[in-house]
Formats: sequence, structure tokens, C-alpha cells
Amino acid sequence: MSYFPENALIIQSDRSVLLEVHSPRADEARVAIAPFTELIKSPEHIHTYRISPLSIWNARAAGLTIDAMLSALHDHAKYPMPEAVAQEIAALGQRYGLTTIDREGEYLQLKTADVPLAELLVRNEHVSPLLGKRISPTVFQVNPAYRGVLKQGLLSAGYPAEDLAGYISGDALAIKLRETTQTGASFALRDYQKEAVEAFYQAGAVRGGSGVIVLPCGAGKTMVGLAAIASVQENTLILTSNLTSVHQWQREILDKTTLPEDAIAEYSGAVKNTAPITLATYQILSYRTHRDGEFPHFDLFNARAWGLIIYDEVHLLPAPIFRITAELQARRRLGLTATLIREDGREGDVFTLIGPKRYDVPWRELEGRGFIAAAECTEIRVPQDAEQQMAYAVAPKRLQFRIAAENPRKFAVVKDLLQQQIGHRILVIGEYIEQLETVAQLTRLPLITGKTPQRERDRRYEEFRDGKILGLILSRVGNFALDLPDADVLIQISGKYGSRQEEAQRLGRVLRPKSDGRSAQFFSLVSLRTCEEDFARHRQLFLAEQGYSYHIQVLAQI
Amino acid sequence: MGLRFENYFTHLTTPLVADMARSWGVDKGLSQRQYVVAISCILNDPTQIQRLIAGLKPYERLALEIAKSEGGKISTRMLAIILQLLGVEDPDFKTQSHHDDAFALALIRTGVFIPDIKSNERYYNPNYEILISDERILAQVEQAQLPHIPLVKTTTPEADNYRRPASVIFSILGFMQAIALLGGIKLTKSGKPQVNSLRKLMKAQRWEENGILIDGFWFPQPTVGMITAFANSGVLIPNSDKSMLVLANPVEAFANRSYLIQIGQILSGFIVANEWAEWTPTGWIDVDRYIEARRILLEVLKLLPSDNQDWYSLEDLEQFLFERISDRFSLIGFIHSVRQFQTPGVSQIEIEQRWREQRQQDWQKREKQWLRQAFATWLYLLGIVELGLTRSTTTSAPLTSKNKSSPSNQTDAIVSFRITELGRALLHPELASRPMEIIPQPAWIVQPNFEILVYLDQIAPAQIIFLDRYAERIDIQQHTVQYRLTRESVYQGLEKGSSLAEFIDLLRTGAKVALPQNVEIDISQWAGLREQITIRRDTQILEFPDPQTMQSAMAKGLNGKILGDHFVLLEQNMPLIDSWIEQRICYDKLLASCLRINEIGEVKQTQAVADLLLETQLKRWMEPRDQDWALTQASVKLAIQAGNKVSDILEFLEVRLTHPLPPVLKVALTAWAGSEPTVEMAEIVVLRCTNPEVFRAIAKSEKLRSHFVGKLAPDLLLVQRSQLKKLKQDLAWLGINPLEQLKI
Repeated sequence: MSYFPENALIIQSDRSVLLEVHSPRADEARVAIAPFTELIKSPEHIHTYRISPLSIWNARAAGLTIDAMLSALHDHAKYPMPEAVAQEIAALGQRYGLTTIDREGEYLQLKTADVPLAELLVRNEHVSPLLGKRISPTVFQVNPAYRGVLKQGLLSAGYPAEDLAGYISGDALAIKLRETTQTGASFALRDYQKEAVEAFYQAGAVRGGSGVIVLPCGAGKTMVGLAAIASVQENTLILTSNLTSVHQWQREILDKTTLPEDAIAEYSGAVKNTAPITLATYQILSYRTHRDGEFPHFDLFNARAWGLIIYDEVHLLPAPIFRITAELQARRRLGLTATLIREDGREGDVFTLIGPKRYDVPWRELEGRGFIAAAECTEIRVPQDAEQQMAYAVAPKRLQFRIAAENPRKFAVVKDLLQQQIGHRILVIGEYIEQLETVAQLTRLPLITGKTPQRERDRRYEEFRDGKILGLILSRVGNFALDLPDADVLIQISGKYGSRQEEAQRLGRVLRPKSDGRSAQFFSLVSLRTCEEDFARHRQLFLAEQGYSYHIQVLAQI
Repeated sequence: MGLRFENYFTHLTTPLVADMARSWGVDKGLSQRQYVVAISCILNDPTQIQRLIAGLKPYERLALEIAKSEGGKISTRMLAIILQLLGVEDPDFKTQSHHDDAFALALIRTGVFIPDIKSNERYYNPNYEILISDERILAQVEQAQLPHIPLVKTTTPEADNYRRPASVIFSILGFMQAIALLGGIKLTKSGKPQVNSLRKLMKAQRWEENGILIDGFWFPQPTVGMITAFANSGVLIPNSDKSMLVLANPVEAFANRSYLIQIGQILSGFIVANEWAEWTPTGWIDVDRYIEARRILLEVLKLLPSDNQDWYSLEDLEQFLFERISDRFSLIGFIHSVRQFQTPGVSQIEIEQRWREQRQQDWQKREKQWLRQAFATWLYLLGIVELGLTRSTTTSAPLTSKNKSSPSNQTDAIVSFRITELGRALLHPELASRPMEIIPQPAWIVQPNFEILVYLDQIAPAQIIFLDRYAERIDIQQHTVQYRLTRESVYQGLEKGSSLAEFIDLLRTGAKVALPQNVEIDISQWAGLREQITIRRDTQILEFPDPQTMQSAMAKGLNGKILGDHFVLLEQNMPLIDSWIEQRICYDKLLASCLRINEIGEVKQTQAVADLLLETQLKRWMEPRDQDWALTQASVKLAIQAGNKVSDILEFLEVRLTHPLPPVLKVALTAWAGSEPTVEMAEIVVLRCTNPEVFRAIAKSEKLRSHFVGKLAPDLLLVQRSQLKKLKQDLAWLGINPLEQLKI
């Protein structure tokens, strides 16, 4: 059996691929396999990728050939690639494009590669009910309303369709990206952002126009969204995960495009306006008065002739939005996310309903090129004093986490850290308001919680961005879509059990590249020998698997 | 029993002994005893033995050499088949109807073999299945220099797969550990592994019942196969009351042996696996033939050149076997005789041609398929062969899961094979020049997420034992094994007696890169916590009604450690102050009976008790209901899921109830806990007649009685369903038309 020690990949029979980070050809191998694999974890030394049907079909949709995938693996394999893996890639890859959806007048047509496949699909319980008249042995008429669900059905049958049925035009919108922003800074898309938009739009061809762009936190997904709107030049509906994010999009559109303020509207709990660019949250769209009721805000999807719908943080897309998206297949759709992996496992729905992955760049590459900041994570284990220890020991289990999280000794540690990090832009984030209020009193930094009025929040964020204040204390509101690019130190005084998503979101707050190239610091305070340590371990594993350097500091007992 | 003819003569007939004696030059007309004495005398003379050997026909001498290589005792069939494989058998025997016996007798008559016949077989059915040679004869026989079988080497395949010895060992040890964790495999009364026990093992191994893919090769029924092999090889043995199969030796003791001994032992078990087959053909399986087939296959591999790394075509091997032994060997133990093809007017050549064509068809369906499966299963699993594959890029198999027909299954793509270094060492132990093992060296990488990636081509056996002791195995692949360090796995390792420093040191020595700081800190903390747990015996705890009373007692000089709001752990030598104590509870005595329970599980506390256990137990098993508690199906299920046993609640209720537990609730508790009793229901037909006279007449009628199964009540008869139509006819004859609807 041949062995190539200088190569970086170990390809395993279970379709996982291990990448030895310190191998001389590691970077080359990473670039070679990224288009058709999913990165599962990337701890310091060995990264794990997975080859899945979706990863192969995403690659095929992006135009990658089976031979190219196999060559990439062969060229970088340390040990010979298991033949079973090669066979499976070939088998999976061949499936893509065996079915296509085209437009024929007012109807759609499903075309299959051959008669046996057509017969197979006619007998498939998910596909069969969606097929109309059989026009020829291999072609079926399809009601345009079934375009989305048919694609879902074909995916579950193992024959993902290539959707070539094209899009309807939305109302025109004249928009350009500025070269100098309204705040006076020069602005241009980075090369990877340009590539991402080109991969999505494909110069207006039917093969483009729908899909997902995967970029790490801090890589400028919003800019990609703006460039996509500028490419399509049509009315656009932007869906985001929360209101702060809505405001951030608004700010960026005004700052970096030629659109006037009245061309942008917010559709939220407070205001329900529409304009050529309308921003809404998943929350408002998924709202209904009772469990089995209608979704009253779904009307927004038909309120204007949208030419493009942007799904921000597509990995958080809720189920009702999937349902409505199945009916919106004739409109261009762009998903933006840092990860294709969803906690609910509905990656297949993203593939079929939003579109295949069109572009991604590993965060390591962007970090290496200075587009996102490197981060160092430090977990500080803080002992409780004797009294707290006893209170913790005898408390009912459900209260123990809170007692540990609110360990009063953490205040002194926060103060020490603030002292050590003077000159840095610091965020202190926590779960419990009383604890945060105490920190605010001790540090004299402003506190922003869910109860802080939006205007007050925006003012504080502005002050932070302008350098008028060097630190902010944030409750859970700090988890999502905050644009505070200069923040470089984050102190997490308490967290929500072991939530990985929360950890990623919080860390994302300090990953924007720093003008002086310095690394971001992420401190997480945990009470020593308590259940908080156990929950922190989940987060520790998550961050380690994301590839961040992770250190533990144990403070001395009192 | 030593290999001396004198031990076996007594069970032979005189004519056979006389034939043997004749070969040794002994005159005719002696008694059996005289023949034996004469032969024994000659056997003590090496010169005479050498003379006899020199006069043997080539195939007889080769048979003797093969017997010597097998230790002097060999199955007649195997011997005949090996000779056939080598192409040196005397063709005369093939024409005889019982050619195995004819072959055995011919060898016995040469004087150098004797059959291993048991006393009761002597006259009625002499058995020549096993042949033995005398140790004095064997001493004069040269070590067998068997010719190689004439297989031509083939080209290097497009792709290939093989298992490293370490990978094989990981599989074996992993399987043993899973059995150890389960505490063994339960046996049925007939001594077979219980289905449930096998399922648990299967789950622990994350296998599928029908089969798994090992590096892309389909291995059917892995749990059954491995259990059978492990039991046959003595790695698993029945416990003292024969209720379980347990490990004969601890895993670590087994792991300390050399790779060759470990794998050789399992190989011996696979060869005689009688509960498992490499494939599932339609129809009947002759287990003995499968065992024979495995032996033949190993012999064939032994007869391949052992001094090179040539590849051989699987098809060539299969053709070779067909040519050489298909007239003698079949997996179903039956081969059509040439006579069955005889037709008047057809030449013998034509008849033999037809027979051969039929045989080839049968062989293609069975033996050929089996051969491929044997290579893809135990020969590959145990790392004996490396398999060459052909590349094919077209497939239309379903992709939904990894199954036998999935494109991941490469068994059909096998085109060639070669013997691995491990295989050569197992097949030719006499040639094994150096041990297979690697000396300990850096062989793994510890990652900050507590995972350890082990490189199988670099790990030494001692390191495997080390990792298995301290880490949890996650996955074995062809080139790597992944472990995870967890608090539990580290505790388990430390409990086996080594220190934290030793553990860290070995972990560091085996690592290719520095240990991540967070891993080292966490491991040290875990070990520190473990060492901090102190068990106190003979303690005295005071419980106070409220924190104020407790504080006031402390202020008055009570010396101890406060535990929560109500408790004080008294200093060890502190005398109890009686005035503070209202009630003493001795936990080692029976606790107060204070609960009443009804049939539907409602529990009432009849008196207040102060012991600390009651509330915990109630919370564990029951749901709170206002002031009371209730045992419900959901609460019991939750308690069971949390690891409690139904015997615990029964024991608790026995102590705490003021009256016996309602039997129906006991049934419910047991059923809720998962041991559902079997009850059966059926819809029945009854005949009801309220008129006693008519009822009696019907019930006692000879004509009608056979339609009833029995009497359920004074006016109710249970009707035999199959007789319903007839009963209605008979009742109609009586002038009775029974009403269809009966309300009970």
C-alpha cells in the first residue's frame, strides 16, 4: 500500500476526511477539498471534513466535475483513498443533473435522464403526487406552484434537480455601490466578496440567481448582500434574525449604496412599511396569534414585486419561512450564513429551497489574509468563597447553575481584566441582569439590556463605534448581529448553559479585523468546581473544534 | 496419547494389520498380536523405516510429509484434497465410489499410516476420517518442501485495501471490551447466545444486525460471526453455571500477547465457526463443508510462494480450485455423479462433458461466490490478505444508507489478492523472522477538543493498552483510531492503580505534538477532584427545624460543620448533647412505615417522619399531588430511565407501607418498568340459554357436545369457533334459531 507522508489528507471509509494542519501541503489540500466537503471541526492539529450527498451536489451545482473531486483527493491523500469512497463520490456526483426543471410556457417541465429514472420517480411517494401530465417517456408537466416541494421530493428520492426554470422579474431598482461611503471612507468589495456575488448571480443566467454564500463571521456578508442587490437591480426583501440586524443592514445600505433613505423600509413589530428595499425579521414573519392560525405577515412576500429575497443567517431560518419559500421559487433567493450546518438537520431544505452553496471561503484563509481577526480564548476558573460553596452544594440542582454563574468573585476578576486591557475596546456580556447591573456600577460602563429603548441602544453603540466610550456591558442582546467593529476584548461573565450558538455569536462580536492587526481576546469566567465548569466544557469543545486557541487559567482558592 | 501405532492397533481388524505388516516385510499367517509385535520391532529400527519410505510412491511420500507438517495427525479428506491441489494424487481412487476410504486404506496399507478408529466403530462402520503416522516414522521424514501451486502472478491492481495488524488488534480488543462492559453474553438453556444479549453487543459496537461494511467490504452478521469465532477460539468461555459467555482472560492480559498469538487464536475460531457463514445462499448450509472450505482455502494460501509480494487473480484462484478439487469438494456436501448423466447412445466423453458443465454451473453459483466472500470477510478482517480492486464509475445502486447493495460495498470489485506480512507470519510460523510489533514511539495527536487521533502504522501494542485504559474509543478506520478523553475514562484509568503523573507522562511520550494546555489542566483538575472525595464513616449529623435554631445551637457551643440551612456535621469527637435531640434516626435499622397506597397508585403519608430518605425516594418514583403523591406510569418510567430498578421501589414500599402492596399495582409497577407480563385476549362465541332444562339438554347432548369447548357459567357455553356453522345447523334441526346479539 502506497504512502505519501508529505500529503495532508487521510481519507476514511466512512467518508470523513482528516486534514493534518501542520503538513507542508495542508493549505493546498484545504483549498482543493473545500468545494465538495463540509468542514465538521477544525481543532488545532487535525481538521475533520465530511463528504456527504449534499456536499457533492453542492459542488456539482457549482460546476465541479466528479473527476476534479477525485483528483483533489488522490493528489493529497497520505494513504490511498478507499475505493468505496471514490465509488460513492462518482455515484453521488452522477445523480446531480439527472433531473432538471425547465420552464415551458406557463408550466414547468421535469425532465429525467432516462425512462427507468422516470419510472422510478413515478413510483416515488414524495414525487409522484407532484407530477402532472406525462408529455413524453422522460418529461412531465409540473404545476409551477409545486416547484419547491418537487425539488424537496426529488432530493429525498436521491435525484436532486437542477432548477433551470428561471425567475420572474421584480420591479426595477436603480442602485449602485459607492466608492466613497457616506462617512467618507473609501469602499470597494474585497476580491472574495466579488467572487461570491459573481458565483451567485452568474451574470443573470438561469443557473445562477439562487443559492447560499458561506462566509465566516466578520467577513462582510452584508457587503455581499448589497452587491447582490446591485447586480439584480430589482426590489429586494431582506430577512434577518433580529431588529438590531435590520438596523445594521439599513445603516450599511445608506452608507455604501446610492439608495436614498426613503427607498428603505422596516417591517417589524413597531413599523410595517414597505419600500423597494424592505427589511424584516424572521420573528415578525413567523408570528401568528395561535398555533394553528395563519401567518398574517406572509402577505409581505406579495406586497411588492420582489426581484430578490435575501435570507440573512440562513442557518437560523425557521420552519414557516421554509414553507413560504417553497412557494417563492420563481424569485431570486440569496442565503447568507457562516455555517451550512443547522441544529435541526434541515440542510436539505436549504439546498432545495434557497439553493445550493455557491461560494465559501474557510475562515482560516481570511484570517491568514487579515480579513478577520485571530481570536484567543481564555477560560478563567474562579473559585467560590466558602459561603458560596456551601450555598451551591446544598441548593436544588436547578438553582446551582445560577449560583455558580453569579459567583461574586467574578466581579473582581472583571475589574482586573479591565485594568489589564486598558486601551482596548471591551464588551462585557452576561446572562443575568442583576449581575450585569453590579458590573455596571463597579466599572461605570453603560449597560444595554432588552429593556433599553432601541434609540438608547443605537446611541450607545454609536458612542462605542466612535470611541467615546471604551466599553459596553451587554445582556443577551449582545448575542446577535451587533456591528461593533472595533471591539477586541470580550468578557463573558455568565452564559446560557452550554449553548454553542451563543458562544459563536458572542465570539463573532470581536472577530472584525482590527486596524492594527491585533488578535481578539475572549475571556470566559467560570466558577471553579461547579456545574458551570461542565457547561463551559461544551463551549470549550466547540471553540476548540472551531480552531480557536483555548487556554485555561485556574485562580487560586481564597 | 503419543503418536505410536501401538496405541491404535487394538481397534483394527486383523486383515488390515496384516496388510500393514506385509509392507514392513513381515510374513503372512501370523496372529494379530504377532503382527503388532513385529511392526513395533521394526519401528524401533530407523534403517528399516528409511528403506520403507524410500520405496513409497511419490504421492504416498508427499502424504507423509504433509502429515508431518500437520503434527502427524491429519484428516483423510484434507490430505486427499491437498494432494489434489498439488496435482499429485493417484488418479485411480477418483474412479472408486468411496474414494476417501479407498485413499485412506491405500495409505494405511503402505504401513506408514494408521486410522484413528474408536473401539465401537471397529466392526460395524470403521471410520478412516483421521490418519495418524508414528512419531518414529515421522522422525525419518524430511520437513515437507511442498511445491507451490501453479498460480501465475497478476498485475498490480488499480486500487487496494488492507488492514494493518494494529487495526486488527483494535477490532479484537474493542469487541472484547464491549463484552466486558456488558458483563458477558447471556446464554439460553440450550447454550446459545441470547438474542437480546447479542443485540446489546451489536448496539455497543454500533453494528447492524444484517451486516456492516469493513473498509468497504460487506461482513454479514458480524455479531454472530465474532461471538462464534471468539467462543471457538477459547477467548470466550462459559461461566461456572453455563448461563453466560465471559472472557477467559481480562482484556489487558489478552492484549499483552503478541499480535501473532492474538490474531492466530481468533483465526482458529473463525475457521471452525459453525454458527456463521460468509454469505447466506438460498437453501441449506452444510456447516462442516464450510469449515472444510475454510481449511482448504488456508492450505491454498499456504501453498503460494511465501517469499514475495506478488498479486494473484481471484478468478485464477477460483478456476484453479475448480480444476483441481471440484470433483471432490462442494459446499453442500453433494456432487452429482457422472453416472447420473449417462444416456444410452451418448459417448463417455460427451457424458463427462455434460457432467462437467453442470458442475461448473453449480460451482459458479456457490463455491465461486463463497470464495469472494471469504476473502472479503475473515481473511480481510484478520489482516491476512490485501485485496486488489477494480475501478468502476458506474452504479445505479440506492444511496440512502450503507447496505449490501450500496456503492460503498466493494466486495464485487475484488479482482486480486496478496498475502500480507501478517498473513505470511500466520500461515508460515516457521518462517516468521521478526516480531510484527512496533516499538513504542510518538503515535498520536491529542487535540484541544480532547480527541486523540492515533496513527495505526505507528502504534505499539503497549500503547494500545494504555489508550484503551484511559480513553474512550470512538472510531476505528483503516489508518486511524480516534479516542476521546473524558472525566469518566480518566477516572477509570486511574482506578486501575497508576498515578496522574504516570498517565500524563505516557500521554505526552506517545504524542507527536505538545499536549494542549487546556487538556492538561482539565485532566489534572479531574484527577484532583477524584482525590478530594473523602468517604466519612461513623458520622453524626444533627438536623435542626430551622436555620435560627441551628445558629443558636452553634452560638451555644455546638462544634461542627454547617451543611445547608438545617444540618450540622458534628466534629468526630464531639459528644452529642441529648437536650438538643428530639428524635434519633438510625439509618441502619428499618425506617418507619408511614405510607398508604391504593390500587391506582395514590399514596398518602399516614404520619410525619423525620428521616432524610423518605422524601428523596418519593421524589424519585412518584409525582407530587397536592399534599400527597402518586405512582404513575410516567413517573415510574422516568425513574427507570434514570437508572433505578423496579426491585428498589418494591423494597422501599415493603418497608414503608403500613399494609401490603395491592397485587394489581405490583403487576402495574413491573409492567411500567418494562417487564410486561404476557396475557392473551380473543373474541369468543358463546351460547347462552337461560332455560335450565334446555341448557342441560344442549350441554349434555352427544350430538352437540363436540361443538363446545367448555362451560363458562350455569347458562353459558363456550363455542368452538370452527364448529359454529355446524352448531347453527344442528340448533336449526332442533328448531332453535339463536339470536345473534347477546348483551353481557
